[in-house]
Amino acid sequence: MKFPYSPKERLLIEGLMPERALLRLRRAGIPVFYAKKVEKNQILFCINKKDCEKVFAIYPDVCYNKSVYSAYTVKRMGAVGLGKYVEKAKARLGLLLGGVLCLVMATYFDPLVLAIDFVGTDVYAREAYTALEEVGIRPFSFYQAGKEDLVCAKLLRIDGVEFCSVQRKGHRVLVEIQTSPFPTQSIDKNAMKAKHTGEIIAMTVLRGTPTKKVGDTVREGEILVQPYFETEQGGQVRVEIISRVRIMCAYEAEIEAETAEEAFAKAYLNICLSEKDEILKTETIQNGACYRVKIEYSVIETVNF
Amino acid sequence: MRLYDEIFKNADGAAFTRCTVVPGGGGYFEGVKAVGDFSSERIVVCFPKTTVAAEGKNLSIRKYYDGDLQIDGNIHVLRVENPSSEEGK
Repeated sequence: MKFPYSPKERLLIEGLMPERALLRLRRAGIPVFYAKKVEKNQILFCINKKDCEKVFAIYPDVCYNKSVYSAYTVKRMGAVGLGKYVEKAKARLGLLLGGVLCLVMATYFDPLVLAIDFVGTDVYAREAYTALEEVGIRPFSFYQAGKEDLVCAKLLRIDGVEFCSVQRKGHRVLVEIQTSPFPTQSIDKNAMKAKHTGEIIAMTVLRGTPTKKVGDTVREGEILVQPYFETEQGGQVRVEIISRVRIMCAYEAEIEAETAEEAFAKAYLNICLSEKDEILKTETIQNGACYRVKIEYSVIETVNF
Repeated sequence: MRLYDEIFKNADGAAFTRCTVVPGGGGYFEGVKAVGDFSSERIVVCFPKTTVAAEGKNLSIRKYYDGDLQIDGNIHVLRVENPSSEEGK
């Protein structure tokens, strides 16, 4: 069966009386199509692509066989019709493949995720990546539609996150996280530990289980309140502590100073009192070149109070 | 065809030479030996026994293969030139 279309090549033959060149092609059995005389010594014509080699065997190509003498020279002018596009496609094979790949991606791999972008803030990017991975959304995987709310719920649990949205834009997943412009008070969920050494003089525990009572002596780091309630059945219910403890502390040190006031000032700086703390008793005694300073003071320690 | 047989019976071996011209169109020539002069106004077609010049406008060769020649364009005149000069060759 003969293929109905045969690709054609356009050639330009040049020489004196170029019509004679056509006669030689006829004798060689080469069909000539669309012959047109463009100049007195030039004929533009088409031949079947398979006959190209025969033509160049008869007449030399001016581009490649300059040394060979012939009354007529032939120049290739490119493919005709569909063959022109095939040749162009061959020259731009990479571009063509890229286009085809892009088309295939757009048609069959539309839900493919190539990247995850953040809008707003990316300080919680690690948490967002983890939350997305848990529902199966990661780069170079298929997008799991309908899991956005799950991811948002996880991200909204993070302190400071006020708004969160997850949506797909083409091959990218857009995670928008907006944080509160005001700092949020963090809730301490651990046991309350004493920050000072001294004697407890007041204790208020609204939530949690106290391990010390008023009058007890505590050392720095000792647990004052545990973050749970004990039930009647002997179990424990974990809670966030709300408590305030007032501890009476004593400071005593020998400080090198020129005056008693200077020695007291140095001692005052050492004990780092806050606004709520108060000094109960002070005593400064000169001891040679130094001063012995004694300060009794009370501090207030709070958790979530 | 019988018509061609009638026409060429006294043509002395020119039976293989045939010309078909479409008014206002191109023409088809069989038994072509060579193409002589060739321009957009005139194409000289050489047959074994005679030479025919097709004159017109926008003439071009559409197909030329194995003694067949198809001419595109408007052929106004088909002139038989030196019919006796080819005789005896």
